[in-house]
Amino acid sequence: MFATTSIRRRLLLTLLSLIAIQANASVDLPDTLVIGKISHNPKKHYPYLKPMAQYAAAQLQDLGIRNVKVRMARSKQQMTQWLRDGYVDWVTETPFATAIFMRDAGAVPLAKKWKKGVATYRSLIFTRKQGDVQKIADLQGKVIAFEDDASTSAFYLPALMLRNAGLDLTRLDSLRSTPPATSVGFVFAKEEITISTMVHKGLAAAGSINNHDWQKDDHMPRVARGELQVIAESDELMRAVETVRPSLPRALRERLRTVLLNAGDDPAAQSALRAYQNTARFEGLSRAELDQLTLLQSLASDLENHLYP
Amino acid sequence: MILQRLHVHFAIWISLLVIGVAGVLTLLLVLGARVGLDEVHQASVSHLHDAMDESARNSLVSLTETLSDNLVNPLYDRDMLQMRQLLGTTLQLANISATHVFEPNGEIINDGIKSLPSYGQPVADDVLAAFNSSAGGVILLERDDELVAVRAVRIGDELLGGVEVCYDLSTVARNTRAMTGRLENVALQNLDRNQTTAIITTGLMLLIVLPVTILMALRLSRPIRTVAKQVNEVRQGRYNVELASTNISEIYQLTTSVKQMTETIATTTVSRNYLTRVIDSMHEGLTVVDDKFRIEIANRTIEGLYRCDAGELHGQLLLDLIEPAENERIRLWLDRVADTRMSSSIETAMLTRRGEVIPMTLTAAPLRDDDAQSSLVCVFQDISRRRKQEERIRYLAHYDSLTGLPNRDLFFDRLQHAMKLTGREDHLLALLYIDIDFFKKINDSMGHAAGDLLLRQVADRLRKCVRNSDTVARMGGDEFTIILEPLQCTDDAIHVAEKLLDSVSQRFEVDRQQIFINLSIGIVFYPMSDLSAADLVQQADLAMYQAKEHGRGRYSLYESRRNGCARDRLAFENELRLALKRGQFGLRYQPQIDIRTGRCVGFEALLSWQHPDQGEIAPREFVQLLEDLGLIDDVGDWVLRQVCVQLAEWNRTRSTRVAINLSARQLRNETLSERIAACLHEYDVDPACLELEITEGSLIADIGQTEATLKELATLGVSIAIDDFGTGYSSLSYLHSLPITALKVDRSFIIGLPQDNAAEAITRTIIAMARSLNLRVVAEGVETEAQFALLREMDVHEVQGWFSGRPLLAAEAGSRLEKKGVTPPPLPGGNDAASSQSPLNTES
Repeated sequence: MFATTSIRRRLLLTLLSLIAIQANASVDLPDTLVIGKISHNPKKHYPYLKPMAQYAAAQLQDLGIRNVKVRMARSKQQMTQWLRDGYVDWVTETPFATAIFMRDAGAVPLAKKWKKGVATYRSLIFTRKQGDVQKIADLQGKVIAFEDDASTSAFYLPALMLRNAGLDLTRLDSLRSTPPATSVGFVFAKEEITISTMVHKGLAAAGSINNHDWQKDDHMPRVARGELQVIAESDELMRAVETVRPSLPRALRERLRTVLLNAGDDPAAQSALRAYQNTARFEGLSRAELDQLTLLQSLASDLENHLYP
Repeated sequence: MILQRLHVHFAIWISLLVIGVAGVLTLLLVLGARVGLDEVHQASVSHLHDAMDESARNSLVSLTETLSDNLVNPLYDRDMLQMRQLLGTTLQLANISATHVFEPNGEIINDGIKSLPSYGQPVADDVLAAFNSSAGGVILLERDDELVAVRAVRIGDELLGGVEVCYDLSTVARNTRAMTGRLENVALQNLDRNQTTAIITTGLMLLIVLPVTILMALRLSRPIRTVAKQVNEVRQGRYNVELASTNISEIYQLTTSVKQMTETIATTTVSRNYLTRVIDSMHEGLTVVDDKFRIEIANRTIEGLYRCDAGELHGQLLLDLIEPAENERIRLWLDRVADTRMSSSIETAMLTRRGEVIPMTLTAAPLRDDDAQSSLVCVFQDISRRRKQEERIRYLAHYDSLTGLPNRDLFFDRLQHAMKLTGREDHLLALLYIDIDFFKKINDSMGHAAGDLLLRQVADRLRKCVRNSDTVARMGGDEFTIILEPLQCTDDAIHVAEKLLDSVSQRFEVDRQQIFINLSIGIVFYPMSDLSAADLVQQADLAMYQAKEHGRGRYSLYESRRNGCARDRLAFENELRLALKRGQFGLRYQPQIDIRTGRCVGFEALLSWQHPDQGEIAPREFVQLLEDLGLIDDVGDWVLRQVCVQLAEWNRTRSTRVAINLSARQLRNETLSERIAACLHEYDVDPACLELEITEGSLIADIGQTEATLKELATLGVSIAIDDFGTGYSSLSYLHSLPITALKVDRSFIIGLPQDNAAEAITRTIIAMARSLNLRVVAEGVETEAQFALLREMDVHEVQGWFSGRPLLAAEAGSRLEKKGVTPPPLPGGNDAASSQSPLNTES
């Protein structure tokens, strides 16, 4: 009896394995690779993404990839939905957005991206030198300008820095709204240059951009930089991360990971990398960095819970 | 001077007039059109500038209004990106040089450029002032090169800021200039078209007017041309031309004057054509040259002489016709003729165009001219024929017409010249006097024509044997002379003589007959003594006779002791006359050997003169002189007596034979046989022991007398031998008719043995003939063992010569007789030919 049961169990397991293999084998590989990004300026970002997608597709031809497509979402919610629905295959974003895709859509991180030639960056909170905000605590009852609600360095990190300083945050409808006296009001300025000029012109008490943008005239006019000061800085955080939808066939996903990791050394990839926000290379994610992404999911949830209780 | 025809003249002036008028009209039209177009152009440019300026203002105002409206929301939201996009789009519009959004206080917020270079800077004061004074509309500010539009940006009553837009007027100015340029081009093209039209119109007018002008000119000038044509007829000598009548007063007067002038010319002038024909008919070449000796006139004869075409000499220098070597001499001569104004002639040469040199007599005479110009008339006369005749005369005077050799006169000239040269320079001169042996007999037997042919051939051979620098001359008859000069040594002349002998001894062919001849050559050298040319020739002549005496067919060098100067010769003759009395003559006996037994069977007695000063003198030196002096008979008797004395002595012990030579003169002596008989009788000598040798020449000199004498001698019982047989007259009939007992083969045949096949053949023939006539044969001049052996093989009877025995004194000869056979003595180092001579033989 035992033996019979054992045999039946083995037989069952064998059948199940065969079914599993069959099921695996029957997964259709797509013939189009879709790359995506959250953007308020599709015209600007489209040329960034297309060459990279074409380069990757060329390496994936043996897996049936024949075409590429670029899709840009207006918000992280829209992108999350697309990832979940399989509407996009591959997204490039900053760490907090990535963490949210992982959390809400089950996206799979593939590699760390040296966006604009750097591996990491920091978030800065700055104010006018002649203003009355000289430290974070002075921001209570004042307005701070962030970029948008998907930005890591110009929203999540500075917001968490304010939260860590014990300050509450209140989103304002417009720049001209008055923040509550007990919290810090924030607005989304969409562009770094707008954040910079808002603070410089006194329309906002503080602003936040990353340390690399701080040095660029097109994000921080030289005149303004001279009259502004940094009052807080975050820790270093990875610059950007490539993720794929959870439903992307494993073979395709792993091949894409390999392609990305090898692109930095491939001369044929250099043109596409330069277009792809001047990316120097891709690197594999370490355990610590994966843990960091997990932590970011938690932090993002905490912040969202605070902002949208 | 370039002459124009009258109707051409008219046509040119009328045409110039028409062209001038048309040109002025065209110029006025073109200038008027240009001024009009300039005014239109100025008006168009001004209007265009105003229109463009107005357009720019309207565009700028409209743009600024639109831009400020669109900037309301971005400025309100402080949306820098949108502001930048709006301003950036504006900047891309044509002629917009700058645009700014600024705060109400004038501080620039955005300039449309990504790096925001103007951010935070104030706008210009005039812009801020305009902004502050703005009531809501667009304010335009005009600057030098730009137009600035300023407008406030408001939302409701709230002033958000302002916007300024700068419009670059330089582009407008540039466009205005471009348009102006195009307008100018259009205007210029119009102007060009107008000018072209005017020019074409003028050209068409001219095309129409010019033929008309030419027709008018022809019509106006026709009467004058007619007169000119008629005058030209007169110029050419046709004085009977009928002059055309005309009703034009001036032309009529002209025609009348020409008619009168023609009549005058016809009666007073020789036409140029006539003169030209006269000049061309001259046999001499005639030229007239100017003061630079350039040819102005040349007749056909001179053109023919110079081998050039008619008229080609005109303008050419007369000296160009002269042979270049003569050029300077003739130029000086012409200068002299021109200076002296005296005619003169000179002989010169013309170098023709074809390179021929023609001797000419050139006569130049000044041309009598009223204007005193120094023209010369130069006449060339071809004297080629005369020169040739002169040369022929000179040639005949100096050359022998038969042989082409220099004759006696030229020979003497050259000899004297050569003697002078020899006197100045350190070398020798040799004179060879040559005579053809027995030429007279050839002339007699074959005729003078054949003799002349032979002389020519001999002359050719002589010429070929000497150098070009040497002179071969014919002295007359069969005598030639050769001057060899310069010479380094006497041997050179001897070599030439040997060469001549060898060359002439070769066969000649005359009238299909083969002739063999020999030369006798006398040689004399200069300067050996102070002689005249005539003396030198005489010496050479004497030497030549000496060669003949020595047997002919040879050369002989002149020796001064025999034929020195007259004084020496006289002394020599006197000494010879006294020699007999003084007992200076002596005899030597040359053995004659029987070739079979080797025994000495006889001797030939040879005369010698023991001169007290000069030592022993060979007979060839004095035998001829003995004959000349008439001493030969006395000496001959002395020889006979001496031989008879010696024979008588030898006969006491042993009988032998002694031969003596008789000259032709002795043979002619009618008492010869009597004297010989008396002598034989006196010394009791057997006549058979005496042999008389006579030459062929002696035989034929007077054959009648000789034959009688020889028969008398034969009757006495003496032997008679023909000496030097084979070299003389070749008639052999006397061998049969005369009482001859022996033949002596001439040494000239023996010398060639055994190498000379011809000599061998002759020797064999003589021996065979003699044997057939029962004559004894003696070979003379045997000098080698080989000759001896060959002669023995030829079966000659006896031999005589150095090989068998040299001439001996009487005592030695006696001893020789005692010997039974011949032991040929060793040959001496040289051949003393003289020592083997007969006492009366002059041949060497």
